[in-house]
Amino acid sequence: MKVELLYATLTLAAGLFSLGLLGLLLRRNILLAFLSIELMLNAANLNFLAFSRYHNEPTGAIFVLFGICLAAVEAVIGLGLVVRVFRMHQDLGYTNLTALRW
Amino acid sequence: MVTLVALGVFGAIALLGGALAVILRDPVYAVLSLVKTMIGLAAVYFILGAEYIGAIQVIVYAGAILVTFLFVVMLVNLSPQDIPPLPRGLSLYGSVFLSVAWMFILSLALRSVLELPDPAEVSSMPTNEYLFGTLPPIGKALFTAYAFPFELLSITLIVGIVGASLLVQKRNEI
Repeated sequence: MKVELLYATLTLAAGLFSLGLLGLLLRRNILLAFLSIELMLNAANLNFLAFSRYHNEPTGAIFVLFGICLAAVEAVIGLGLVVRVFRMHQDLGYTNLTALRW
Repeated sequence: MVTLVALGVFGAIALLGGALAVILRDPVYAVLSLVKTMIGLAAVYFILGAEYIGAIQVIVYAGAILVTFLFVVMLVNLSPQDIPPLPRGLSLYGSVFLSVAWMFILSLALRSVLELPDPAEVSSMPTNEYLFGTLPPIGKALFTAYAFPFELLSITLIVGIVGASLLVQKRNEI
């Protein structure tokens, strides 16, 4: 029973990760690509909790807690960059971000 | 069995929200459907027995992070006309093929999970099934074994706050 629960949860996480990958490849907008990265992060968190449940260990839950805090920091920094890019280009597409290309 | 059905229902809600977040053109609707994904995932965490993480997921992810996203969407005044439509042709088919192939590889790899032993047979330690994700064991591990990473995390949060406030202010105000 526990193995089936683990399998179902990991399959759900794999589906969420693939959706995030699809969004990251399809979207031509920084903000919406960033949204897809959040989806992929949540799939990773779900994997941690699935194995935490399987082994009855709180360690996986602690890793998820750290992951959520780091996702908050990452969202704040990333959205700051988005605002900065918008001020420079008045546009959030990432095809015209070529300042570092030579 | 009830657990598996509930997991399927809330997992389907989460997957639907994720698919809408990928497809929808209006950024406000995309962020809101990601909120739906987060709430579905929080329900999945509750089903897995991690009540504390489920509550944190609702409060921090749905309540703080995605509201920050929404705030930025309104700050830069992003309307559906600013969003380019989904690409057509080779780009679309290539992306769909890549993610479907990745899902296929993952599901092949996940077959091996079904052959794992049931941990109840392996370990003789009598653990309460629904206790591991509640606050007492998490707090105990967080402030003993993981106390140093926990303190590092607070430094990371401060660095994030200072960095973000430096990033978004105008250059001549520094």
